[in-house]
Amino acid sequence: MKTRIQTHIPDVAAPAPPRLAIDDNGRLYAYRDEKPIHVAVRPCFPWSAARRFLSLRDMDFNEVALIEDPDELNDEARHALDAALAEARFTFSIRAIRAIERDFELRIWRVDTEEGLRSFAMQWDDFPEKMSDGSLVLKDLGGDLYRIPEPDSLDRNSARLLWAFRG
Amino acid sequence: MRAASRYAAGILLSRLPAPAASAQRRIDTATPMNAPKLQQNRGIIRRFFEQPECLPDSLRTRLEARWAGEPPQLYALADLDGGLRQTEMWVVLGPREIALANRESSGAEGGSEYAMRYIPREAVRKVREEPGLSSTTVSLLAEPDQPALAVIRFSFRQRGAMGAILFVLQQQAEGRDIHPTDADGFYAEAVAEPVKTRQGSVTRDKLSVVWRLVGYLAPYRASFLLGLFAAAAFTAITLAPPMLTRNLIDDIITPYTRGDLALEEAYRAGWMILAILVVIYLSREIFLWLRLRSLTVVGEKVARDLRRTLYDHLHTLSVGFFSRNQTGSLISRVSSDTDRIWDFIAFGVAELVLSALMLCGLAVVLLVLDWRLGLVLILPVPLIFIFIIYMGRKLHRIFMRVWHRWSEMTAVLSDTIPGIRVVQAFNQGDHERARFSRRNEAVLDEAVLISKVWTSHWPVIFFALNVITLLVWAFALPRLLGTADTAPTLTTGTFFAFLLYMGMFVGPLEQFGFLTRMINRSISSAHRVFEILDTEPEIVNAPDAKRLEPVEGRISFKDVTFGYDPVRQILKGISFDVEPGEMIGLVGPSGAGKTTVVNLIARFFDANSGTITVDGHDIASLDLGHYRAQIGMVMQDPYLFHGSILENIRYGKHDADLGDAVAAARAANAHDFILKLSSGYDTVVGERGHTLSGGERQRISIARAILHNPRVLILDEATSSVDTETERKIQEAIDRLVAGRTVFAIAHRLSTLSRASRLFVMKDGLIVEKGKHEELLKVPDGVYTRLHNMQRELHEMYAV
Ligand SMILES: Nc1ncnc2c1ncn2[C@@H]1O[C@H](COP(=O)(O)OP(=O)(O)O)[C@@H](O)[C@H]1O
Ligand SMILES: [Mg+2]
Repeated sequence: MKTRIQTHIPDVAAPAPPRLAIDDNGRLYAYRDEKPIHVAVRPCFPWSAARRFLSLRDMDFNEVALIEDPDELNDEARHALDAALAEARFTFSIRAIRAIERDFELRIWRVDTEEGLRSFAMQWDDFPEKMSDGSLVLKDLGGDLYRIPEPDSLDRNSARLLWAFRG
Repeated sequence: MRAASRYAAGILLSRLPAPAASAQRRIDTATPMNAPKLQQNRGIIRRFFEQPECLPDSLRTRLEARWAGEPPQLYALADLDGGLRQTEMWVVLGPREIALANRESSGAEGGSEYAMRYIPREAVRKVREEPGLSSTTVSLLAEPDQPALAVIRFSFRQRGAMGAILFVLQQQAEGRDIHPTDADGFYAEAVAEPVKTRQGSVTRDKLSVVWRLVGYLAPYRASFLLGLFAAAAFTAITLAPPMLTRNLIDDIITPYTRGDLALEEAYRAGWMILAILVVIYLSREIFLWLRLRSLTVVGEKVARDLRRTLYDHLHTLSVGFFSRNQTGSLISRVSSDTDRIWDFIAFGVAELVLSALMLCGLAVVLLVLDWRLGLVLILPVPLIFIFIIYMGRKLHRIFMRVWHRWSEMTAVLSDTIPGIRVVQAFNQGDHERARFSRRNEAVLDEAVLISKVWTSHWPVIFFALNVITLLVWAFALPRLLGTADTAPTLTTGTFFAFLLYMGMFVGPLEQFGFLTRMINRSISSAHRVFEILDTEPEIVNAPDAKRLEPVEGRISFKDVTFGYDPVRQILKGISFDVEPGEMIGLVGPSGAGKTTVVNLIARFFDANSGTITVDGHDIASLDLGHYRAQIGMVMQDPYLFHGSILENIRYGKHDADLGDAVAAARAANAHDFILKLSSGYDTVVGERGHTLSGGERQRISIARAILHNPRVLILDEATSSVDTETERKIQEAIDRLVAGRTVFAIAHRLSTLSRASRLFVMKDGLIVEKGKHEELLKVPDGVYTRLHNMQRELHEMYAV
């Protein structure tokens, strides 16, 4: 682990990175005193720096480790961490927009995602949010997130439908 | 206003997954959901989510056979697989086991095949939920840190339904049995929930909204019909003058210039026409007056009725409803939305009828006058309509963009103006100015786009109208003059009338664009109003509600669980018995659920499972209003209404006499500071009134509670934000107030609770310790002991 450049901010020591492994169910384990404990990964910056500053939390939400940069881990740990991270950061990914319908105060989006066909509802005046990487993110009424990774390379029909809602 | 994109990432994270908060149905409800409601929920699931609306029959049959005929207790859909692709895995809670049914896409001949797994319920000792950005992973565990019995992944949409199953499993692991019986109702409600809380109305399309609105016209149908009749008569009369012009030209002027008519005759006929015109114009304006008068008044009355019904209905709704809905939005529904409905009835309906009648009338008149010219004029009209509609759609899409830009711009305002002190303290004025300027420019860009479309479309429409005029001329000219060997077939008068009628076409066409927008807006307003009217109260009186006279104040909780939303349980099994006259101190870290407990005592919410009894009666069986009248609450941040201090003190008891009000204020240690105000008890407080400090408002609310004389008193951090001197005064007031009542007092400073007969120590939704101060201090390493020591140390460190 890199040593922190000395700054004026008091350094509350973060625990050192442990050995990591993943089981068949996709659950992540960290080893503490050679004993595996199940951990969940919480990215500090899931949007702006998704693969940096990953906090590992045990069952009681205590921090087991804070990993600044997974690339400094060994291969096994990195693979395990990336798999767990993919799950923690999961959002639906929109490939094409089939239709956008208005239903009074709501708007129904019917989309084709990497994960399969899906319909979801948003408030009529809720717009997609533009992220720093140029992608758009929509949040439906139930809290699910739908990402349009490259709004500019959508097919013509989707682009036409989306036009009224993008910035 | 909406989120702004520069902080987009921050906003997505800070707006936690919107809790599917709402009327949480009791998991172990005794009565299944009624059929219309179930159908409504299922309709929402079909329309909005395209996901199965219930457990597939084949699966149900199979499971019931396995469970000796017992139906599933609960079920939910796990819609993501291990690779985070969409899938259809049903998680079904049976009486003794959990079934996991994974649909295999290659089902034999169209029938669904499921790969089944069964897990005995008692094997699940622990449930671990890990929420991600848009999905939750749940592990069912026998032992912590051992491989899981099952790992289930699902999108947030399924959280409500899944949460109930996990909750039952968790409760079971802690030794409490819950027996849910309405699996279908619960699943449908949980999935449809987020849509229903945003759009509560059962009215599903525009036409039915209009129909419902028409229902409100019923009491005033005579005036309404009179108004419509006047509008129709007005239109018919408007069509007459050009006809008379034709008569004037063809029957008088032309014959006269040809010498076919004597001067005297001509004058007589001319004056006659003028007289008719006078009558026409007079009666036309009378009809206009009649129409405006009757329809505006009917509109006002309907708006009044709606406002009254709406406000009445708001009062039947529970606290939960008001915390889910923004105050501003509720206020605008009662005020501006009903006003738009007035607009619609007073003007929209009439204008619509008028324009339609005018167009039809024109068509008929023109065809009768001269069908060939008539057709030239009428046939292109539908094309113009289509063009106007097309233009409306296009503009609407641009309006969406402008609206988006606009809200981003105003977001900067509503962000920085209240926070101006921070902006200045960190010297970020330039930064904020630049941010505003960028967004301001963005508004301009879109607005320019609108004007482009707008300005390029209207000339097209007017040009089209001109082309029609030219066509009419072109067709009319040969017939007007005749050719070398045919006589003229069109009279001057008819042609002249035509030109006049042509001018009348433009009005209704222009109106049309404006009217569609207005009507759409009014229909949305009506829908928003109906939405609230259709919201069912969550807390209702039982059919044969009891009144306890008097309430003695014996309050018992038995295994009470509660969550504000179906996902997160806040109270995880609370049990206690409190005798009348006891004073109970509730202590514990913030977020432990203390306020939630007292919310349940006041029955602002109903428990999800377990029972709450008052004097041995189920709280749900008591008459709500009567019971609440016996409860007094003093909160940390008490609310004073706009009005005098006297009115505020007498709020629960408007007829209390002045002596009692003063006595109550005296007992609350409020009398002295009230008299320091120049208007004394008549000082107006609340919004736009005199500003009182937190401690003063607290003492007024204590006076209110003393006067109200409740049997059960709830003090929720009534002294937490005041200085020591004020606290002492409030403490004295409270001491006088608690005598002879059942009291629940929540306080952070343990010293405040020195008079409590017992203390309940809460942590993470459970009561972890119960007893008297001295007893609790004897518990080594107890939560209370630690709190106590901590506060003593703090006190010694910072004591003044
Ligand atoms: N109206 C509400 N909707 C959703 N969650 C709530 C609501 N009120 C309180 N909570 C949550 O319930 C938990 C317990 O809150 P509360 O009973 O107010 O705690 P305490 O009074 O002990 O500080 C907290 O985590 C809080 O976030
Ligand atoms: Mg509280």
